[in-house]
Amino acid sequence: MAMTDVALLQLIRVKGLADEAAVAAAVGQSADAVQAACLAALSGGLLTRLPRGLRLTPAGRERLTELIAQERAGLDAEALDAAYEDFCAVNQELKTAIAAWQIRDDATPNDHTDPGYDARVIERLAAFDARAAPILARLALLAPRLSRYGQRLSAALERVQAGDHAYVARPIIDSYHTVWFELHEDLIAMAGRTRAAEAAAGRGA
Amino acid sequence: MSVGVIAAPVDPWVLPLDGSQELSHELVGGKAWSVNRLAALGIPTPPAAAMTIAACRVYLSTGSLPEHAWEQLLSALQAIERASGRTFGGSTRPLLLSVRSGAARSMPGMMDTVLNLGLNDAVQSALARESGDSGFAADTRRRFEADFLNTVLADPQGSVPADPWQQLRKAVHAVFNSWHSARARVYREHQGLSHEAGTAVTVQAMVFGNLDDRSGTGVIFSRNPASGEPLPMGEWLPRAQGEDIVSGRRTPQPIESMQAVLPGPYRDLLAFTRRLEQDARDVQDVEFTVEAGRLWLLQCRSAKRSARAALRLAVSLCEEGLISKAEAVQRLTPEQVRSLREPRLDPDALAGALQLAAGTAACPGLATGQAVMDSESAVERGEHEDVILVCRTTSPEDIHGMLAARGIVTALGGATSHAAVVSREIGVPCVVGCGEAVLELLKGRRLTVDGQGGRIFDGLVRIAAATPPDDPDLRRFTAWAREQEAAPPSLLAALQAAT
Repeated sequence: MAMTDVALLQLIRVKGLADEAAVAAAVGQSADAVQAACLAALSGGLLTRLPRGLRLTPAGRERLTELIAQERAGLDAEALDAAYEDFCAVNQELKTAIAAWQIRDDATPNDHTDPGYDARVIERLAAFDARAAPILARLALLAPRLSRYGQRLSAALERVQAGDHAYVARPIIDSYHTVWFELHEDLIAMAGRTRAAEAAAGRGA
Repeated sequence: MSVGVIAAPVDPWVLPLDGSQELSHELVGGKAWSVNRLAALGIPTPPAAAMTIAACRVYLSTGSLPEHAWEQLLSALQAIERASGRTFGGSTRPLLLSVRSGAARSMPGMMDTVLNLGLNDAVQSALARESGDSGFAADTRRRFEADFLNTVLADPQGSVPADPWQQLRKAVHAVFNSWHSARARVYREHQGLSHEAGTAVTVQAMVFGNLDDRSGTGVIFSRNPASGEPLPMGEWLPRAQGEDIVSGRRTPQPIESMQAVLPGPYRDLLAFTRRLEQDARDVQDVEFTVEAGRLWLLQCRSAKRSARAALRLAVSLCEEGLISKAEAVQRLTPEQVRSLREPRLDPDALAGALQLAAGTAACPGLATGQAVMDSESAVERGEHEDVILVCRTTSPEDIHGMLAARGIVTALGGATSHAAVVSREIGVPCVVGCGEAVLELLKGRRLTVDGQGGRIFDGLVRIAAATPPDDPDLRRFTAWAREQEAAPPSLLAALQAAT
């Protein structure tokens, strides 16, 4: 399947700045396909190239807003709202697990010198991943492009379980927290909501 | 706890806090424990009783108070009436109550409190007649109704029952229910506390810091909890109730200013505070109210302190003979020893610093710089100067601005928000959830961010160096720790690194 503009633009928007390699890894497409799509978007004035990567132009943001509105119009709004509610219901659980990775129960920073503690948090993350899987499956049925998030989350978890602990929460790279948060951003836009309103309602800031 | 098949005839669900028996934190919570201790030491505290944490657990699992609990509370209330010479719901000398939560482990501000309970039209008139001040009675009624609508009914449009006993019953239920409030749950999750424990309810006769010009309320520490210096420090507000200090609606005055206005209560307050410190063998944080020139202590507890103060206190309390060397060594955690090696805000500079905002401490550390209000400005200006990123929330696209900033402040979100998680990953001091007002307030300013204390200060507050390895207190403490066979290896390792 060719990469849709909405997937490309949304990914670069949510990452702020991204190079073609990061885009290709995240969207799961070949480097050539991504190169071509980015060139088209660059020449269309939707993207601009900065020293550290590609960025959305104001025109690109407008285009993305239109594309998301179109996408939304073609979706079952009620089912989308319900799926978003399901996502929010487990969101805090994930965030608490990520915080536990960083801060121990006694409020001290986790210095990762206790492998037993780290292993328990990783188990917790894996258990969470299993519980979140049906929600991600439902989202993928609603909008097929969202299926990529489930794959990226699984990839992050696999790397963590293989011992690459940066993939729990490190920013920029596709860590579990990065991908989960990008999904949240995407769903907020797709459901026609705003982050500020969601944060004020206690659904994640 | 009784052992055996047959339960005790009637479990005590309500206990008087008159100092006649020793109570535990697990039974009645920290607040009630301290009121009982004040009474046992003969320090004036208004008469009070507590419904136990065990009663809370029954209430939360069955939806109603255990059998006999309400009757026991009513008879405890009669004892409070006798001790205070006042009558609950009475038309002369009416008794008003404070109804407060209190768990075995402190959860400051997380659960509900109702003050001035027991007011209706008749009681308000009685209060006005007695005080000769209808303004005071109206002010107290207004405070009560606001409290009751917000915390008990959780409905600003609701109506407060006129019957004082019904008010009391609803308030007790509300305090128990507040154990499961969202903020309490989030706090416990963050602190790693159990959701099972439950809270006690303390019912205490009200005293009125808002009665007249010889009244007020405040907080005093038996020693300075920031530096550990052996001088009491505190603040108070004339003609006010405690919530006025907590809410920040009025600016408190330094405790010393009380001496000129209320010399007798001030002298007693210092003496009682010293006495409590001797009794607890630790620095005390004491809440008090003066009503018409008469001093009452409402609560005491061991004070939260900075790591530097913890070191100073462990050494000085031991030198003064209050605690043994073995106890002194237990007064610092390895984490506190580690943080001695970090720079901190200079206590003297801090005393003169203007605190602009406070929120949840997300990533420890100190940062100073120019406020910028979005990630793009942070990236641009961060190349040439130190910037503090201030924004409503952050999302992944803000990461480049977060990396360019020395510190991060957000208006919304808690300890697990995106800004909190990412700041910890990248080690940038961060305070989250400071309120929408910071977006206007901090704009254009130079700021100091205290990521450990969750505070934002105006301008560049001087930063004091870390405690040097040859600090006399640190040397002495380290020597004591090495003498103790039972000293934890993690503490010794932290001391080794610090000296």
